[in-house]
Amino acid sequence: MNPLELRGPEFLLLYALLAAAAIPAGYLLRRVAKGAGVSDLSVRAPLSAPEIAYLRGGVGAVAEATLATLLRRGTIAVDDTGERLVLASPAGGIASTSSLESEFLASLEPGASWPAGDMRDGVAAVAIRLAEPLERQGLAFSAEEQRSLGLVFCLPMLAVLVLGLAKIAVGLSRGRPVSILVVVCIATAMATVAMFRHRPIVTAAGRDALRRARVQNEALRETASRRTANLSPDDVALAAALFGLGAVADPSLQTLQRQLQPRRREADSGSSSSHSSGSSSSCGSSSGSSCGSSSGSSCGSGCGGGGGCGGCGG
Amino acid sequence: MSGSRLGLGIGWRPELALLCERRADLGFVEITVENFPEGTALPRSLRQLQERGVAVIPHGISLSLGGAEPVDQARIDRLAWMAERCAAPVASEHIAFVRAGGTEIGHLTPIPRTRASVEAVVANVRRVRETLGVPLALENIAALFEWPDAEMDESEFVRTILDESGALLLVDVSNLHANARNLGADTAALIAGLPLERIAYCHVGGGAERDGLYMDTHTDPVPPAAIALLRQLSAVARPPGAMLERDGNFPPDADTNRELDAIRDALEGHESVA
Repeated sequence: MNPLELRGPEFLLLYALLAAAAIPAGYLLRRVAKGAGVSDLSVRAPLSAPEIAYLRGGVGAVAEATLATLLRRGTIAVDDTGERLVLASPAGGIASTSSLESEFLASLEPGASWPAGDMRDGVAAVAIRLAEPLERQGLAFSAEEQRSLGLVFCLPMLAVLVLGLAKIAVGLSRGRPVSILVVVCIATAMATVAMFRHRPIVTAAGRDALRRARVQNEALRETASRRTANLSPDDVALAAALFGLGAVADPSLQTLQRQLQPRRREADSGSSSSHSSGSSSSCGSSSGSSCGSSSGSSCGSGCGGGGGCGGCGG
Repeated sequence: MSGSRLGLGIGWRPELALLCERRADLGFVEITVENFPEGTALPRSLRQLQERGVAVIPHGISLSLGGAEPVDQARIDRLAWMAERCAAPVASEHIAFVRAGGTEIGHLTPIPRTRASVEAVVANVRRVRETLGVPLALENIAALFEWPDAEMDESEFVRTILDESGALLLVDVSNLHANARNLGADTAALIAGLPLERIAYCHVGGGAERDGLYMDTHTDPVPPAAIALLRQLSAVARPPGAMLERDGNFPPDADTNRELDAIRDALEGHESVA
């Protein structure tokens, strides 16, 4: 059966089915292309918080974790408007920071202020250099590998698109109406481009390393999600790196969480374009317990006697 | 002595999970049964503590063992389920009632020290023990008042209940301290009269004075008097374990660790340097 000889409605039905199948086929092909990614994690040095953040969500996640650390350390602060970030610590206070932080801080103009998004882009521009050592360790894909994987992912959809274009040519040669198929092919082309740009940045070994680090730091997640007053800046950095800004219950991070929340969600998906957010930086140049629960529990927090009502008793 | 050595412990709360993980000398943690939804898995960080040998003890607050009504079987089942899930060496509850006639009181409320109360508690404890697969320890509570016409003193009351029910003893030294402050109880006499050979472990919690009364809040620092009582108790009984109860207003970990150090030293019979 030659699909190009099918009648219009029948061809459109076949085309729709093939397009729907192209997505799982793309995933399958990409999985095969990515390989098992098995590596010996035992011989690696422990990953730093920025490296872990990169594995979770690329340079965007690195930037968020870094800004959380700098805020917690008091190196940067939220200005009086509550909407912009400023360099707060004197130069001496920067000495103890990592090279990544130092490089970013050196790009900041003292006295200026920036929206959190701009600061994030500034850190991301510096953080891009984290990729190379992770790629060497087999934890992250290089830019070339990402492009190849994007191509593999979109190949089935591209084949469907070629079939549609061929049918348009056949239809035009026979003087048949092709307007519906043209619209469908435009949609298919857009889907193909989207699939091409949907590139994984982390290898299977990288995902495994992240999973292990999360398991090892489960107690940190429990505590950081409830109270952070007692956590060190390094604890906050690791919690933000592993679990994202939203998992850190720190009032001083509210501005970051509010302004970066949409992009955080994207980063948390773990398959965003890795380097896109680090392509430009605008930093450095901008101016601008109650008692009596019905369950019978005598104290909600577990003390057993109504801690909020004059003592626990238990 | 009533069982295996537990050592130093703390009431596990998510806010203290990291501290628990970093505290290498913890022998056990206590969890409040009612804080864990039925049927859910234990938090992973708790399971990780178990994997390194830290015992997990379920502590109930809603059985109302001192109530005149039989204990709700569903609540017993829940405590037993949690004890099994935790592979706990012991479970614990209070000598108190928290509801009557279907009304929740919202407090662990003292019961009259009468023969009738003993029989009610013993009957309830026996019901619990029929289902519970591990020993049950009963805790003395802090009271802001005493019922009139007591037929026995506190130590005799507790001893009789334990003797007749077969339960173990959970000594809350902070509650002893609170009762001494608020009711004029003689802690030395009480300790001397308690069945110390049945101690499963001890509680040490913080408190504060409000409106002329000492409140066992679990949200304030541990009073030195409570540590002194634990040391006094350890000198005559060597309890298998002792733990800190902290339920809110969490201080810096350094402060919590100092309190834990003091409890450990008192348990081991040393003078704390904190």
